[in-house]
Amino acid sequence: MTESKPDLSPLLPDDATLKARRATLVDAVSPGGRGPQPATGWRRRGLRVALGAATAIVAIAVALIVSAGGDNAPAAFAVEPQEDGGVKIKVYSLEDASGLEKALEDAGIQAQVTWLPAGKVCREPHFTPSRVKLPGDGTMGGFTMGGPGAMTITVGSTQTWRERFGELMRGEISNQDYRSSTGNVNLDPKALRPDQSVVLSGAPVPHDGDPEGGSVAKLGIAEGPVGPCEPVPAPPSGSGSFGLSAGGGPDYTPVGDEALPQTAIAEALRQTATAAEASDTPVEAPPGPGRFLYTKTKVVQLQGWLPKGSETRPAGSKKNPRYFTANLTGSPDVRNALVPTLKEVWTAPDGTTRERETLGRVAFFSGTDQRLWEEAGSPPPFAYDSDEHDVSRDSSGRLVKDFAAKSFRGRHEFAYLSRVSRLPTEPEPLRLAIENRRGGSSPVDPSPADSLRGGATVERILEILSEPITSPALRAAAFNALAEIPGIGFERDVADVAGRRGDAISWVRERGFGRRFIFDPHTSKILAEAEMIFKAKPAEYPGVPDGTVFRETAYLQSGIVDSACERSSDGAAPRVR
Amino acid sequence: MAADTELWDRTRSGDAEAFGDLYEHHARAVQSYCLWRTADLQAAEDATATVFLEAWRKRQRLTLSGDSAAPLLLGIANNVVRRHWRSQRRYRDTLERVRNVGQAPNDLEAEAIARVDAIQQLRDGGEAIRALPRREREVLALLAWGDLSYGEISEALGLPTGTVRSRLARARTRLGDAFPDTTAATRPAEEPL
Repeated sequence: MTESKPDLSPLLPDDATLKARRATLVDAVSPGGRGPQPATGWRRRGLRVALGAATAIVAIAVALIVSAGGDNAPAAFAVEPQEDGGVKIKVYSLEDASGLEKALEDAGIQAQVTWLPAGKVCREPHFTPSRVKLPGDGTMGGFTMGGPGAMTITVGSTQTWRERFGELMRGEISNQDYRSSTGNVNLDPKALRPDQSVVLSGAPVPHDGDPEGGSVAKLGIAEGPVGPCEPVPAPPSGSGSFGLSAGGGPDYTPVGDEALPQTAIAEALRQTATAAEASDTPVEAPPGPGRFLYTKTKVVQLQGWLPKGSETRPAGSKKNPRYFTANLTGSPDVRNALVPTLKEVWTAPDGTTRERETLGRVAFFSGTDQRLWEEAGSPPPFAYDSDEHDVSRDSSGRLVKDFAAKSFRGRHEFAYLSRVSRLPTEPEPLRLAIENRRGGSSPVDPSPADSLRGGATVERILEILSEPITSPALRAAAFNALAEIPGIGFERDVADVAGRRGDAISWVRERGFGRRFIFDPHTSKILAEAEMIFKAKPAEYPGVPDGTVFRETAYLQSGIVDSACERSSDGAAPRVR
Repeated sequence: MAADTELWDRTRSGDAEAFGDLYEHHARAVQSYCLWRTADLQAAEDATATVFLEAWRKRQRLTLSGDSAAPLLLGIANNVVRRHWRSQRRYRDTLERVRNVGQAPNDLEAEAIARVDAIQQLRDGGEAIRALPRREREVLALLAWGDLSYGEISEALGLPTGTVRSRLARARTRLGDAFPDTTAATRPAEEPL
């Protein structure tokens, strides 16, 4: 066997890459609020690592000092020409925004720069967000950075940065050399389309005892015209005003009804908490031997169909190219459809499951696509491909998979449920437990929902509320905890994929994916959770309108039953559109 | 570095650095396995990062039953590869960051050629095994590419050891000479076939 194994070493990360990836992962999983910022230079959040590849080249000695005001005023920033014809701009203080705009324009970058007083941010949105390509394969749409000391902006060529990065990777220059020549922002004029420009804003923040000892700045990439920056008060969270507070970038933007003031949202959430408390839903204990947890959900998933099959046949299936699956995006030929599945799961206490999945009616986004698919013989999605799975038909002719499996959580499914049942049932202790700060060493932190920690807390609370077994007291505490978190995106009267209506808590991630939890305000039950696509590139999801569900799970029914054939409570036959 | 059991205990209590050590111990093994299953470098790199992010997310619910974290990680890898779109959606942003770390410049021609060659060999070499039914394929892949013992495979897949053995036997029957049983010679097999 050994001789039939190809040598994979060219495909495995080398030591330097392994270490760097380790650092990225550790950074990604570390909880927010790991203490104060280091007092050396600026730190970029969010896409820091992705941009690390775009280093500045070594500065040469001459620096042109651009004066900020009168002859004796200290310069707000300095411009240093670079060997490759680019420039490095060191920003010393948040003054002379128009001078900095001019310096960037001279270097080939259209920019709007706004320096604000402490505690202010620009009202958003005041431009259409866009993305630029980075060296390597990534793209960048903006980030927030902050710290004491000077911020550096380099303008130059991606090619030069890439060569510099190669020198680092080959060990020809030290990490320190590499870092010292890195700008906090590296911009290549060629990477920006003519209609794209850079939007930079910043404000002082307290640092090291000095109320204006540090600063934060936010960089965005705009497409088309940029409106003026209208200063508005920052959300109430110290340096979190730019989403910097909790170790992450601004990747959580609440969406909802803008006419609803925060007080109304908090009140609505508290009312739902009251409804939860008042409900006399019996709390079922996790099942013992011989009993099963039964759940029924309707899952609607966006999938792509390639009428001619997949040319670059993905591995894993030799005979059956996967030409109708969820991950076929980016091809101009792909036809998108919403694929509904009714999913029933019976889970035994040892974690083994019986799962029954029924395929509903596949719906393409255009009638033309629908006909094309039907004329091709309505080939089922890959998950129901009978060459790859055991598929049968039910009495209505729908495709059904009925199989034994292992719970996603393995034998810990019920241990997890009982842990949920032991969570505190008071809002503040619940929140501290969720944030893993039960020890109380950190003070109560009112991070708004649009900070990373606040966002993670909101998401976690909603996930707990989506568990099949939760007590009225826990649900009430959860909604009351949500009511205390400022900045939640709230929508009224939203329908789920099963046609039920409720209110929703929603947000959008930077990458254009949104999440929405729909709940019934009268019972506090989570009806459905969805991931949606926002501002997708037309090439990625052709024919898919904004706000389309990428995947939505509607929670239809759950309960404890005595056999893996039985359905809980109403016992109605499963229905799927 | 410390033993996996200690690192996992610390990971479970939220120690991100211990988790980082586990990553350094096992990332290449996980990536090798994902490479074999996908024959696609970027898919394997994304899957590898996803495996660790999933392990972190579920750390409270997962326990090591032996001395090594490999069965646990490769068990997750098996799930991630099988339905990778589902779990990776959650980690989109982080995956992009990880992917961009340490990315070699595109113009290192010799390295690029070596990579293309290795991918081609993977695609050619794995054809017979990929043609197996999924259940047999998974067991075989964990044995051949995950370097797991039978006991560890049964842990990774949540199957009885007997089932692992019978699936392997069936796979070997189907493959015939394409997959000679050299296991016993190259490693101390705990359960000879």
